[in-house]
Amino acid sequence: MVKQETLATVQSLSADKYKYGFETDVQSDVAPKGLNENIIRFISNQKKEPEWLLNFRLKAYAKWKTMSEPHWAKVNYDPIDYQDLYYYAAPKKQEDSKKLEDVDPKILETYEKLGIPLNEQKVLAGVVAVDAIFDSVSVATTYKAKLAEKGIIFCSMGEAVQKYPDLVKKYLGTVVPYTDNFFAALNSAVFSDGSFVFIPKGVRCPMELSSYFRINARNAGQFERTLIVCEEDAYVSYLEGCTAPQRDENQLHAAIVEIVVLDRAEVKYSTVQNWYPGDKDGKGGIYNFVTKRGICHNDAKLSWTQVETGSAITWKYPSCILKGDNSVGEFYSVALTNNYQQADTGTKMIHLGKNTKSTIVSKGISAGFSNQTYRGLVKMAPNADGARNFSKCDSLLIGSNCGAHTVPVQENANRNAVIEHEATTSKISDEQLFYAMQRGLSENEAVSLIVNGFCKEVMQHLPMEFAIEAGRLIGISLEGSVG
Amino acid sequence: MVMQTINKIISANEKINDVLMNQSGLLDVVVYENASYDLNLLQAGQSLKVKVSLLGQNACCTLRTVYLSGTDADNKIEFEVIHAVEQTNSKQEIKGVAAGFGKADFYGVIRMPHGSQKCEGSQSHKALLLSDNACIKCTPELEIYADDVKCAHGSSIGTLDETYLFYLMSRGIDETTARQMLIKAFLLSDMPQAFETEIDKWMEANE
Amino acid sequence: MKNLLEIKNLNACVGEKQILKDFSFEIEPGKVYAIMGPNGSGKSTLSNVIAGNPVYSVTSGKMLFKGKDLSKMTPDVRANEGIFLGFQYPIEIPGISYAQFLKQALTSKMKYLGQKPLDAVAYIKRLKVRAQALGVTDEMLKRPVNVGFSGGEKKRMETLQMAFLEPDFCILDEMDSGLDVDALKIVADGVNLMREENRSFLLITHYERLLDLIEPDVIYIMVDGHIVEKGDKSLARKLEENGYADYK
Repeated sequence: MVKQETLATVQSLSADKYKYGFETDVQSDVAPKGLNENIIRFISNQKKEPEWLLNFRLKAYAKWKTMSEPHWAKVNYDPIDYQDLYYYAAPKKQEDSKKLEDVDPKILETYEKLGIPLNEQKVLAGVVAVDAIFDSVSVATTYKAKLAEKGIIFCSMGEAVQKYPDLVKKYLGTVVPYTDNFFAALNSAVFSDGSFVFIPKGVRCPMELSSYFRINARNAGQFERTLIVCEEDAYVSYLEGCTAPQRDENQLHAAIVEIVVLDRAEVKYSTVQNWYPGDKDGKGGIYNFVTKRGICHNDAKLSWTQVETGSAITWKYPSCILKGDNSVGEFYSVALTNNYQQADTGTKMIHLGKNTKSTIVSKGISAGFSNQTYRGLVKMAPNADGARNFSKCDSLLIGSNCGAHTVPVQENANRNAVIEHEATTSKISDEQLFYAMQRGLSENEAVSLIVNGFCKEVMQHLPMEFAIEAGRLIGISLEGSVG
Repeated sequence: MVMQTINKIISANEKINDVLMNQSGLLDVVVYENASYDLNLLQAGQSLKVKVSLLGQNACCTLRTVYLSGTDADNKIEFEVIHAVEQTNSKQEIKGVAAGFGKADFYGVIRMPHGSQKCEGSQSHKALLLSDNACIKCTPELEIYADDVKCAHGSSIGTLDETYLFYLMSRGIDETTARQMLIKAFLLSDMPQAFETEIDKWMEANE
Repeated sequence: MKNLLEIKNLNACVGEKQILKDFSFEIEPGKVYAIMGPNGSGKSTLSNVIAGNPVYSVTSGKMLFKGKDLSKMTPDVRANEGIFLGFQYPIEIPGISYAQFLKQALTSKMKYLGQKPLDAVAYIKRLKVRAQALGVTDEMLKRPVNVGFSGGEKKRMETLQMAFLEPDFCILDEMDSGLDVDALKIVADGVNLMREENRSFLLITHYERLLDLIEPDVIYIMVDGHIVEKGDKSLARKLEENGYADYK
């Protein structure tokens, strides 16, 4: 019943329709290709970093040289030549000024096309603070004043290193040490910029903090580093969204997000990722190798919500270390792959404290020739009395050339802890399709409706304005078959 | 015990029902069209891999397993079911317990390659931890390359449900007896009664 | 010994939430009691606390059964002392057949009372007589405890367990919920057959209709965790007309 019409439309998807595929012509400060100690010193010097940070980078680099690229994930790609990449690119600043009017108008125009409300009025209308990142350096940050009143720090990582070196030094690398994995070590050595968020004790951040990422310069490896610290009894909701222009060469992206959630604090981290997935023949697209992890202290809560429709290759496992008693971890994910996209994504819930709870809901949609894997780990440590996990992973296949895989590892070493997991793999049923079409929907509309229903459980965890964008993205990604 | 490989071929239209206990090594089974292979397995401290390839249409297999892990009796069990052609069915039902310092490691994969349309595969793994030092690891894997299939797995690792215990005790049954009844019931439901004596012996030694 | 069960100033909670508040009442031998009250007044909590469900914790107060302190007894000891709780939602236990389950329960009770366990023939006879009276078939006894039973069948099986174990004090928690008229009649007849000089019943219910089938001697009204009124059968009729508004 999923007939030629659907298959054809699904196959002809986003490919040539990548709406954000354009390139801004801005001159970049670019470090020479390749990676060595000198490049790291160059980056550190460009950013006027203190000695300890340079040492951190150098140690990470030394460690990285001893490591090899991990290959356990179910993804295939040509070997990456790490010496053939640029590790630093900054847009040329006109002056040293930070005013919006002084920002290169071309950059603003780009944001305009992306629909990012960067200029003041739009920000006011959206009530969203934007720490906009263009390539590797923070260009403009709005709303800082309002946040500063409450003692909230929301700025680029580069700025944080200059202004709040003690805070950065205290927390950087404490959740994701540079020894963690190959890509984390690489990021620690060469990270360019990213966001820094600090919510002081007892403060509830009055607005959603949002950061838009964008990869622009040709061959510029993007190594974002985000650090969020939420002190006791504080709360913040952080949004990460990204779009990238179309290009042919594969681009490497290896970011780190570290989140520290202190006693009774709560962090919601939402991501909508729609980087360029490559064309319909699997050419081009972003390689996205990300390490995201948070640590929860007593009674703390960390909630990850992600909608992943982009990138040629995704390697990403936002995780929670539930160290404190009664802490809570959540992971809600929608991943949609099409054409030749490959995604290996999931989460880790490490229950160390007593009465810790975690929930995992993962929805995967595979279409075209794409491959998708849910890979998860739920671990109950011997002291995790009363801990509970519930996981649910559903995969939906559209067409007979794609793959959907599930690898949820469960490890329980505490008799008073419970792990429960359910997984299903299915296609859009003929009955569902027929039912919707009998009520007058076209096949495309029916597929759209069903895919939306399939994802609903996750989408409802996104903040309102993000949910709309995410819904639109799923529409774009399944364009043709989804109305 | 010597590591060994047992090969089994289930010819077309044949129906085989095996009851095996305490195996180690590799059990490699191929099942041809309209044939079925039922394995009833009880493991109490071995390392075993079972590989079943469903090679003909309407071939099916059911793997029922009980594992009992205790101190110095760890279990490692690996199941691989390959739906090599369309219209094949597989079912895995695994029940396990770990007591003392016992460990269990269960890995089960269902593979549905391209072209394995109209296949159905299911796997259910349920396990109980009976002591503070026991540990159970479960990795259920689905590898699906066909859209017109039904595949599901479920797993839980926990402990005896207190509400069950209360129900039995509220009828006058003491806690130890109630626990043993529940563990046995958990392990034996949907499993061959042939395992009962082995389970009784094991419980006497471990519970 | 005048009272079979005596509860004084009992406070009990689930988690952080206090449900029984200074609850007191008495149960005399040979009488049928009914407790009525709005949803959430604590009726089910009371029955679980008497039976010793570990989910509920008693924070203060006294419970004496046949003059013995209940608080130190585990649920099985309470059962063997003669307390039976007919559950509102009997759980399903796959893998244990009813026949096996009841045999174990009876064996435990005999052992507790220092009596010789029944031999297989005597056991089957005892079970069959009671099963027949309640229309429970052999096939039902072979099935795992409550698995695949309808709501009505589950309640009938709870009644069978009660008849089989011959307790001194039977608490029937919402025996009537989810039952149609015919199923309710079977259960009520089973209860009436068991009424005896030394056996008391506590019926927990919302509706008067059960009390038409099993006539109570005493009705307690429970609101917000404690008894607010005690009376005879006419109290039920009054409630049916006015509801619980007067007690709030």
